[in-house]
Amino acid sequence: MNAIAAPWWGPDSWPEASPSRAYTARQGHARTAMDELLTMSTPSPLELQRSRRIAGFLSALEAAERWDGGVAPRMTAQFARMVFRFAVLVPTDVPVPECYYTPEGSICFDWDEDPQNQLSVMLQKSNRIAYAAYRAGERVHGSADFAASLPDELVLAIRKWKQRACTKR
Amino acid sequence: MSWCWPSESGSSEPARSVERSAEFVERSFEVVAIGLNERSKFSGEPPKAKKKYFRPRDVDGVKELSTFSVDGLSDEARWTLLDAQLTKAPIPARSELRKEAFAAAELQQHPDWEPERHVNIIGWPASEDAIDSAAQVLYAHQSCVRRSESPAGEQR
Repeated sequence: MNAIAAPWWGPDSWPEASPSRAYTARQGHARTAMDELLTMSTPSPLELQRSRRIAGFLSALEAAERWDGGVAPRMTAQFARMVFRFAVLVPTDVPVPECYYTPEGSICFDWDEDPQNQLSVMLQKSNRIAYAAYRAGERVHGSADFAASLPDELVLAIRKWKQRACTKR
Repeated sequence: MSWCWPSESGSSEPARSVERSAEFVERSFEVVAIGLNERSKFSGEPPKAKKKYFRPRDVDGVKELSTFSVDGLSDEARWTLLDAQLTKAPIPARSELRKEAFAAAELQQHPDWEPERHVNIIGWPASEDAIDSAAQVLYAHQSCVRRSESPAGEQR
């Protein structure tokens, strides 16, 4: 079972970056940041599984472009923390999504292989998490402050997405 | 080249100058299309334009999704129309949306005919999650056509 729980390093344990330190996803700095994170403790098997998960999300992030094909913006330490946190909170049996930057500057993760079962999550600059789900005509969307856990409505949307995705396989 | 003003029945009338009018602005077209000028912009089998291409652009503070009316146009004419508007022609695919999709997404068509047959999709909500929700509806309702699979594409 992949319980949605607090991240293993805690929501605020990622060290604050100095103002001059920003991570540029395209140059692989986000991955370096993850490596630094992993050296902070001796990972357990579960933590290693999670770190692989984070690596998957970061790969998606490194491949991300702006929605119009332009160059991705520089990734701040705050965004890196949010991505790490989100990658850990999403159940490991949910595939790594496609990722891109929205015109508003958010990082968007799309699970949309099935047009009748879509899920999108947007990590916003203001430390907010926004989400939208479409399931055979049923629409759910909202946003919340992104703290130590995912919003309840998003957790439910992820469960429904998984349920339908598993049924289709 | 001038594109015909499509009739209500779907057939093309002889080309004529189209001017803005109440009738023009309020008109709702049966089918509009988005040109996909790179293979990375669509995927899957059957093909689908990626959802992000149904998100609007911010134009002077107004959110708009740029489309073209293809009412009354043959398959070949649809490719010609979209090729003329996009870089990297010939484009490899197009995504079409029927007017029912906009009703479901609670969006409206706004034809400005600049250039001819250009239709903006407007009425986007303010919040990013609601915008994405509307884009998901369009994504679910799209009909994506690969050029190689269409009659005009086969002729090339």
